[in-house]
Amino acid sequence: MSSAAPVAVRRDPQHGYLGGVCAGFAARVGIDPLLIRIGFIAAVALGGVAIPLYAIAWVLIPAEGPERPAFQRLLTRQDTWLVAAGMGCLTASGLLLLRAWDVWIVNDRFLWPAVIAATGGALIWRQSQTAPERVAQRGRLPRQTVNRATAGAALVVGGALIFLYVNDALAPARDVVLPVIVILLAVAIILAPWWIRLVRGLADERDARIRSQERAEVAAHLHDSVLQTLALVQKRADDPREVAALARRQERELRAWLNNTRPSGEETLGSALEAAAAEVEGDHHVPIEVVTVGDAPLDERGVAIVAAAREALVNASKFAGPEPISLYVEVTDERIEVFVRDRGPGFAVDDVPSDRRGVRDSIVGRMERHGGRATVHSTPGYGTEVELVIES
Amino acid sequence: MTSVVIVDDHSLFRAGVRAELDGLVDVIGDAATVEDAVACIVALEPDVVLLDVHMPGGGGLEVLRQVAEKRPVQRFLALSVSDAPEDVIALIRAGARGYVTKTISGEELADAVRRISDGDAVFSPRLAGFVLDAFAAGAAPVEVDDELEQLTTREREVLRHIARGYLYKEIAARLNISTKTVEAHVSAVLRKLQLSSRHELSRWAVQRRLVD
Amino acid sequence: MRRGRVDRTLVVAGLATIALGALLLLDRLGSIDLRFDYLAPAILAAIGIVLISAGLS
Repeated sequence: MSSAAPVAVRRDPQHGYLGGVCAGFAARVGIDPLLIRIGFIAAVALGGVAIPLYAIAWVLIPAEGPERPAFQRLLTRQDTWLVAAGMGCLTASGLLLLRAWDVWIVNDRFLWPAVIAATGGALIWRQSQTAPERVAQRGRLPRQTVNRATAGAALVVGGALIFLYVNDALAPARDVVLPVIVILLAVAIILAPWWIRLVRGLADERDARIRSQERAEVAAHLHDSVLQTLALVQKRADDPREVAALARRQERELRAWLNNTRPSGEETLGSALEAAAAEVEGDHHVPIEVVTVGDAPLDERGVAIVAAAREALVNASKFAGPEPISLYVEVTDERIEVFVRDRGPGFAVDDVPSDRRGVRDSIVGRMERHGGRATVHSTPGYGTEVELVIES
Repeated sequence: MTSVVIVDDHSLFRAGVRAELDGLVDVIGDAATVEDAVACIVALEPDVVLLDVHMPGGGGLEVLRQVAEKRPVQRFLALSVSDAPEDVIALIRAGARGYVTKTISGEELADAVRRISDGDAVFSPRLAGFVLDAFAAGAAPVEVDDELEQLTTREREVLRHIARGYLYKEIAARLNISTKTVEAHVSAVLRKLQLSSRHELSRWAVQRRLVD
Repeated sequence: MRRGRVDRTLVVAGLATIALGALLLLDRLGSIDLRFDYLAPAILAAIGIVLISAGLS
């Protein structure tokens, strides 16, 4: 720090409580902002000049980092404000009491600075206490709000009563206030059933609206997809394979919609494989059954294994006849395994016709490039299985 | 021939299955509601009941429960459009000895019915996948001593092969064991599925629902 | 502040009000002599305590 060129002082609104002046100074000098703040508070207590100085600093010193609305952070932590205000009240109360007892001649000059100092101190203390996450978590339950409102109302009423008492107006006031209160209560009791019915009616209406919205959504979806498919099926009724393919595709789509599954192909290995299988099935009309155990986010190795699996699927669809193909995926922490099994004629692994060997080499090569391996097992008459393994 | 009762609230489907199974098994009755089903099963005493999962009045689960009180030896094969894990597992744990989806062909269905009637369990590849998933999700459970909580390596191997699309005799050939042994392993898995601690499997099903 | 649990703020507010009321009552009864100079700090203290307890919970 000493060898660097002299750095101009900047404010730090991100880390500061008000304008970031103390935080900025602390960063420049290299000590804990808390110490600077304590010093600032002490200066305020000794004489009020520190406050205008802070304001000037806030205006003149440029800010480092994005400017934040000054009270935003503090406002979100209402408990901080409450504690600070409470502390201020207590301090003022203590000082006034001292004055009443003539214990210590407290000049008015000292009153306000002391109060502000105490408030500031409480603010800092409270702010530094709870971590922000806990505060964010603490949602305001409606009951909590009601309690606070009640406490506030009680305070106000208490204050009003005291005021009246001090002015010797309590007794006559009571003669007026009491009847008014009684009347208000009576009216409230009379109107209560209507009020309750109104509130309940609102809730019912909201439920009905939500239900009709969902119904409209379902109808729209069915209209877009299922009805279209059924119409297509009727038209192509003489081509059983295509009808079966259409039906399978629609079934898969509807299932996914009903289960609210993730959008196809995006984030995870499982969905990428399912999407690949759906594409291959759509192109070649051979049903592919997908079974997944475990899942993982899609990374570079996942992409490789999906590509290899897709090649194997296409190969199986082309050469292994109309019997369904099984795609099995197992994802554990240690490895990813994919098995593509068909029920085609099979072949003796040794004498492989050259065109199929090309595809197999491509699959093997792709896997080995990414640190995995591919094996092909086949028995004439029993079909073929391609095994793809990548260690994670 | 094996006698079968079909329980499904979808009449088109009931008729379709009847036609498909004609000649392969003996369909002696069918029912569309839970009450009819229970009455029919208790009266006719079939070898196997083909049971749909989703029906009004509690669904296949309700039929299973009520029949279990009156005719506990009854064997059920769950047949459904749904392949949601919760449905599948719930029915197996309630006592069904197998689960197949409605897209299955007539011959395979008849074969499955016969196997259930012989006392074996029928696991579709997807069900095998679910079971592997369920028992893997509880990896390193707190109470490891109970053997019902885990699958043995052999059972896991057999399930994997089923999930990969192998038939029992193919699995037997690959693992160098007899078909009967394969069936024994599958039945053991079924028993574990039915008896293992409710907590773990329900938790898995709930997790699945949330994740999905 | 969970549902079903006692709301601390409310309890403190209630106690503070009771304390103030007690002061006023004692003044009425003549036990103590309550001047405004004493009343203001008392009120401020009550408000302060309630605010602090609200903030702390």
